[in-house]
Amino acid sequence: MRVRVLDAGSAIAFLLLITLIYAPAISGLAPGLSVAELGKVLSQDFIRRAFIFSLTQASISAALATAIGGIAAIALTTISSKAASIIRALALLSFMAPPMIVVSGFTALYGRGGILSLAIPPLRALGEGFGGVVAAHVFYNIPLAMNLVYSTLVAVPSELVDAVRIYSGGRLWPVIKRVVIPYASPALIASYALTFIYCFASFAVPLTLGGPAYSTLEVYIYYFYRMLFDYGAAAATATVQLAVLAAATVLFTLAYTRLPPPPIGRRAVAVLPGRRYVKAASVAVLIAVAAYLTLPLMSVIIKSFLEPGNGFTLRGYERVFSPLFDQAIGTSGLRVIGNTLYFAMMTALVALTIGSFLAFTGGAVADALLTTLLAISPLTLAMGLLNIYGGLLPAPVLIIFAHTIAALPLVIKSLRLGFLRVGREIADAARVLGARGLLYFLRIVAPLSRSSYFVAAALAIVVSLGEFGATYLIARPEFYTLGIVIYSFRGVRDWPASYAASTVLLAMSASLLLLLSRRLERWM
Amino acid sequence: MGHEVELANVTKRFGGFTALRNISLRVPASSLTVVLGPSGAGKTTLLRIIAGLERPDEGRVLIDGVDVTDKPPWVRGAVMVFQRPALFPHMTAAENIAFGLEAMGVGRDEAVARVREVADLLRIRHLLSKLPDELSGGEAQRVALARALVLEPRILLLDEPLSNLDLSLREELRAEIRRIQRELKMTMLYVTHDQDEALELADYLAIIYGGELVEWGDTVSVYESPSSVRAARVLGHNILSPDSARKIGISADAAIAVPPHRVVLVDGDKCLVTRVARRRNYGIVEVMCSDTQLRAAVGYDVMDSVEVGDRVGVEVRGYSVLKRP
Amino acid sequence: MRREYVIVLTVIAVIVIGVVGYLVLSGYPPLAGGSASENVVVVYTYESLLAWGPDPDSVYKKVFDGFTNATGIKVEIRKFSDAGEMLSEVIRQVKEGKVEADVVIGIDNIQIIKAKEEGVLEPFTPSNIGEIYEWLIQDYDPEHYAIPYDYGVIAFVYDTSYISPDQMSNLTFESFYGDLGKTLVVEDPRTSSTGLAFLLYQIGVYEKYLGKDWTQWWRDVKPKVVKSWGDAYDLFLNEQYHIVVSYGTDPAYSYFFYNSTRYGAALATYNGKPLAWLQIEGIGIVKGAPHRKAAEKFVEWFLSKNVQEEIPLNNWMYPANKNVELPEAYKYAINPLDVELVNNRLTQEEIAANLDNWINEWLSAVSG
Repeated sequence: MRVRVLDAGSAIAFLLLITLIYAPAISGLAPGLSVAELGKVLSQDFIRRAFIFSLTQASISAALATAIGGIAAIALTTISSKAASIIRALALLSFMAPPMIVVSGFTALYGRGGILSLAIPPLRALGEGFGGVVAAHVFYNIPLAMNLVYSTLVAVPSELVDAVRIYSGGRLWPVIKRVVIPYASPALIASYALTFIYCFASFAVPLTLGGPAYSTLEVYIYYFYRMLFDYGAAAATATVQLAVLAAATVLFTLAYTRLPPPPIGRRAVAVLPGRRYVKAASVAVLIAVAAYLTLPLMSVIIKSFLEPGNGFTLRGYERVFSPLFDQAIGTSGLRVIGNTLYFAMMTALVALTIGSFLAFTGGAVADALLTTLLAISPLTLAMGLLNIYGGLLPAPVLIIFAHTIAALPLVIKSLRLGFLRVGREIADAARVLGARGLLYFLRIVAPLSRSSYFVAAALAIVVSLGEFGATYLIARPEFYTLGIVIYSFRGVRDWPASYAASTVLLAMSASLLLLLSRRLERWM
Repeated sequence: MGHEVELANVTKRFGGFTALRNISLRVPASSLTVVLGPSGAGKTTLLRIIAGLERPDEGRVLIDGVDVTDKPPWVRGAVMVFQRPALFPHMTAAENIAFGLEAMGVGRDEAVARVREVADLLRIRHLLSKLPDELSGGEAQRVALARALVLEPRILLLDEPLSNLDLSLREELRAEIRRIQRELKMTMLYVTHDQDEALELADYLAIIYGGELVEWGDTVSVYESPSSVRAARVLGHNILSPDSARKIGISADAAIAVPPHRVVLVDGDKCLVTRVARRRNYGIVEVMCSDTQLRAAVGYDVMDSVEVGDRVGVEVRGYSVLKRP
Repeated sequence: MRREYVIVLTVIAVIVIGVVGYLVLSGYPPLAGGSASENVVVVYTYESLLAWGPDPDSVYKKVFDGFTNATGIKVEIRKFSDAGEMLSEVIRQVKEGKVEADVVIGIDNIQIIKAKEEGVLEPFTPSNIGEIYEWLIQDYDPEHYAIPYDYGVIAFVYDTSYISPDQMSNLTFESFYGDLGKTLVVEDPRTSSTGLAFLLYQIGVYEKYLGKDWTQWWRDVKPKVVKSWGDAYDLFLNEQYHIVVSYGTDPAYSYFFYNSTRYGAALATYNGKPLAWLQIEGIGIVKGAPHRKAAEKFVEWFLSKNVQEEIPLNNWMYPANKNVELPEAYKYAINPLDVELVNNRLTQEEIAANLDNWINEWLSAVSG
């Protein structure tokens, strides 16, 4: 039983959700909420095809990402918790990497004439077509699956592992079958659903890696909106997309509520026997996953130092770090870096503050409502935000707002897991001693769930740094972020600057995540 | 001034399971009342309802005559100590103890003074700066006790606070609790399944079985002469049907309860010794007297003088008639 | 006792309010910033307008501050990621009756169809219209809803390290059957204006010159299709694909900046004559513009020789003003005046009527 300290809290939480978050979303969708528009869109052959493709690729990508992430999570339990926390944090880099970087990295490695596909021709399958789409989606979502599954494996009681190990004569399979799978299954289902949501609404990856035959519904939202200026059709397509994602959200929420609360002060139990071959296999798995996640990013870093056809250059970095006004981006490179950091920090602060409140008081329905936010495309959301708040709030506030909305579902999930960690005994003790409301939250809940605060902050930062769609629509140049100017530089053919901006973005995220991972390790 | 708690017709269900059924109980002021019962009987639920952690489905909870059924825990003046210490792991012992005072808005200086005072009472002054991780089980439970006592609660509720400790610690703390209760004249409600604990501590004894209050009264009369079958079973007394009773010379119109310590072995050949068991401080001898089995609690000298298969006589020196189920 | 957390939270709140307040107060114009003063003109354009040159800052000063110096009218610029984004914002403003924009720069010859359909522009004939090529105006919009300011052709840009100019001479679409087709990367017409222009080019050549089913080419050649010009060029510069659909001025660009003639540009030919698709960009006044007079002055300024001579090296397009002399680097560019324009046969009316169908047919051709 969860302690319901503020009874009015839930009501306020709902109000907050509806007015601040849902109103914009619905306003963005409103033009498509008519039978005529929906009918028009659904009668199109290409929409139906996109629907089927979205479904297929998302199902397969989610299954693979979950499977690989799950295996990686098990492998993580066999290494030191310090190393594990670093890997877990750095893996989030791939989750936030802007699509441009990923697509560019994947084609450079696995595409036609790519570095790896020249050496190992079968790898070509990862560089284009259906395989390319799935490969990039797996790249994006391994960290989610890995982190979710790992956090449930932490909750496996070591006595249970010992017992199964003794009764099974030390064999591996019974441990996996009787312990790992039952414990991890809610996390596996949850990460499948979450990954499905992200893959279903993917845009740039299927278009460039897959090609036009692999168009998702999101492609048509963009197409209707930007090429045909048909807002009705765009919103109707978004509504169809939302319907599918809502179903995935339900699945996610059901699975998520069944996750065991991670206990306080417990390290991950090594669920696998500590035999040498198991350890070696785990390390091999982790190296393979790490390579898969870092190589595409590496190629971007290398390209940031190359003038196309003209060798080594630092010009890109000079432009990115220049304090001078830059016409191509409408402000200076340094200001952009400042903006990026500023929005990331503000997003973390705001998302953690609102998220704490919602996670503490909101209950399961609010949680489910929030999860559906994942399903609303950033474009729709940004449109709605502009519709409702455009005239009222200055752009930076709107941007923080948009980033916060994008970050909230993940932030709240990790906070709620953290709050569960407090446990009933501690909660009861606090209550009979007179703790309530803010005091209970500040003195007991928040300190006891601080590791989840670091996780939530990391996620918020990562989402903010990687956010592109909504920022793009709302921001004017003086508030551009690195995620935007990588495209601006490309637009004026400055490739080194574009890749340098990408590299700076990655480096910023990496250092923030590393910083947080140290905290993470200490409190896990 | 002591404070009294009263439960009036309290019923609590969890789903289809009735944890407490129509319980009415008045805990006298300044007394230590022990609630005894097997696990799953509803003892903990009873305490949680008084503490305000659960709301009864029916019935009322009154403290000093005031209905607090719908009041949150923190206004009731009833503080609970749990089976496990449940110390806040991120605070030192002193901070743990001071936490309730902080919640009440007590000033810093006063809080420090009161923490010292209660630490002295429980002899834990040297532990104040330690974190819960660094405390032993007994130390942690003392801190938990101090954390409750410092609030000078009207009612202190203790939910098997000693059951996770080893024997000598348990006895030591038991004495401590008794001493403090006497010293502060505090009303305490103490839940346990341990009869030693119950008998040593209790002014009054309540026996709960299957969610019902089956026996209530001062400790000696409840223990020596329970009037309900289920209470006798909880206490481990011999329960004899009127027929069986007659065979050992007692005539009653209902079943009777015979406490094992009221069964005395004497010379004779009517009964067969079927089992001899050594317990701490005493021995158990089971005898069969023409289809009637009896258990006697005896001293080691008596126990050592018999063997399984010996024939002995028995004398029942006290019993009560079980008028209720 | 300890109140650290309360303090931390308070500090955070102070930071939040403080920093947000700072940003708001530091002179950021609110979004609904339609200025009431008549002495201002609000210009919407895309991000990279005039930003591709060696010194974009001084060009900007010359063009926009220059206007203020000459007329006393302040210019407020709002940039969009691209012209499509800009147009959709203007459509939204006109629909809602809350027009903030006066002038839009960058509507191309396909977007103008939609812009006229949606009724977001108001015709205006600048006093210096005589300096603009008349044929360009006829091609773009004879009704003067917007006036062309630059133009250029879509071309196959190739890497001479891999493809010899010989292979590209007398090129036809059929040449891509085979090896050339395997190394061609094009943009998706649903998400890229370059890609859309290329599709119209290809349709025009097949339908109006060859008289063949245009979808067959896509079915047989199956070129690599990517989301945006940037993605396509990325693959091209990475030397993974050696021909990219881009602009006829690309060779001039790389000559100007890198003194390199590595990249060439070629067109599909018909009976030995190069055929090209012309992309034209125009400037127009928004219907209901709050500062109509200032807007008119700005349009005239933008079309004047003074501004137009910056177009070639900063926007990498041909200027619409016929009095501008072209820089030396342009000897490597494909001059639209030297080629036959497919646009002349594939009219805007036809495009407007068929575009949806073509996209669908294209989609089934490339998906098959």
